[in-house]
Amino acid sequence: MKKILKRAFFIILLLIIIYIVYLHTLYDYNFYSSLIEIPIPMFAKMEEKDTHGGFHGDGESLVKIYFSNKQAEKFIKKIKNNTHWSTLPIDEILQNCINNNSIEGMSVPLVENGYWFFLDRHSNATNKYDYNDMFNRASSNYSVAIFDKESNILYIYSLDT
Amino acid sequence: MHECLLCERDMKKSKNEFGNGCINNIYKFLDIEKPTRGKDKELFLYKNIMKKTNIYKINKEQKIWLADRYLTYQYLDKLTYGNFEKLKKQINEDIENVDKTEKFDEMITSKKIKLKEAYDIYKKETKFKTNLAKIENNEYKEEENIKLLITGFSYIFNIYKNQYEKNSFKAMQYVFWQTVIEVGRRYFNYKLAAELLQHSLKKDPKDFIIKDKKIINMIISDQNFKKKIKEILDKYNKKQNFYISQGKESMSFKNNDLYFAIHKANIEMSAKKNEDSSWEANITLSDTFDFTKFKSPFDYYFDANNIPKSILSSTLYNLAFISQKLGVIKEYNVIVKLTIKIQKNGEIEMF
Repeated sequence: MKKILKRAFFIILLLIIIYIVYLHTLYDYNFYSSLIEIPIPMFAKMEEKDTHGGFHGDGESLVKIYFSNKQAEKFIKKIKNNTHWSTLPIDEILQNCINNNSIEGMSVPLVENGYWFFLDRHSNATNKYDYNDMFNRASSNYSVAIFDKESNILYIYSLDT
Repeated sequence: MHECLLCERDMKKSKNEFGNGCINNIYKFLDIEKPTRGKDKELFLYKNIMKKTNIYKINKEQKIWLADRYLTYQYLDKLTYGNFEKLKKQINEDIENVDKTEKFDEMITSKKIKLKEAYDIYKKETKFKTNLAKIENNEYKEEENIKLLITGFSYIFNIYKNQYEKNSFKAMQYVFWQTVIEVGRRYFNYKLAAELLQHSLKKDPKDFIIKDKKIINMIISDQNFKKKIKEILDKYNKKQNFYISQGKESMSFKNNDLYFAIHKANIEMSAKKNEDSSWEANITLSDTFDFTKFKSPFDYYFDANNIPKSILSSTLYNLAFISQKLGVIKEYNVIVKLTIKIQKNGEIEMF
């Protein structure tokens, strides 16, 4: 009887841990999907570097999400239906902002064929899809997403100062 | 279901308006001597209240309403945090007119604040003051003080039930942050972080321009600052002069005080190369002192490589986020202007 109870306890503990990891994974996908306004396929391979933290929560993050051909096809369809996404090339001024930063060895390469998206998350932003205003502020809170059609990789860079 | 007027717990079969425990609390609170055995405590309470308010010719129901409003007033009167003067004045009017009242709902304040709500705010403030006194009297060691700060005060950041609780919580949050500042200064010597947090508590904080030489020296001595300047100069090394506008470059401070005070700042920089390959540069570092994104429980755990530190800083961050939403902490810009000379060997000196 004791053995059965012990086994049951460990199984339940394992299930709880799996559930927590699942929720954390789900949380990331939901968070980034909401950020770029397009659903990201669940369980697409994701690599993430994030320096956000501390008392102010400042930092930068870079996420690389790898799509299969089918997933990429669906994703591009949704991009075309979203007016806040644009075709590359991205403006040089914005390109320099994201290419200037490497986070723990991970950086956004120069992508020529694909789409891009910008979101100004600053509290003073009047038009959150326009990046021009952000250069007049004391701090920056923005995200840039780039989808590379050649490699089917989605890059999402975020900065919070 | 018949509930106690004070705590609203079900009293099951009791016909009284107050539960036994609550009536004893009320006697203690009003500092009235309990009646001798055999006398009905509740009726004795009504008589006492009628005597204090000088209102006598009222019926049974009016006695209950009088007790209700009188106690509500007394609990609000004991509060230090939050402004309840207007409400107390209205409650007084209700008390004075109780003999003309036919229904409880006719009273102006009956729908504004219940007795239980006033009692709850009073209990929360008492708990707040008790915990505050423990910190101020150094009854706990350093780490315990910090844990107490978080666990002992987190309820004042909960969702408020009504505008009066909101006012009370806002005032207590203000005192909470003052305590954080004091603890930060006392235990960690984070003078700049304390000063910036203090500034955010002002009614209308203006942009904070850092001019203090000690702080500026702290900035130019920061490892990450030196590293970033070197990085930028290496990038533009082939030029004689360059300008980087605001928003294109940023850096994170390593020094603890700067990390807590500013953390990451935007850089605006113009630089000119001298004949001896040293650089003269005008740099503006800027940041906004604010807390804009609520952290999820997962962010708590993965925030830093040290879980307790992670939980502490993330908890404080979320509490600050709530305070900013309520207008207790206000955002403002932090700016520091530097004119420096960077020698060929990377050494930085102020002009």
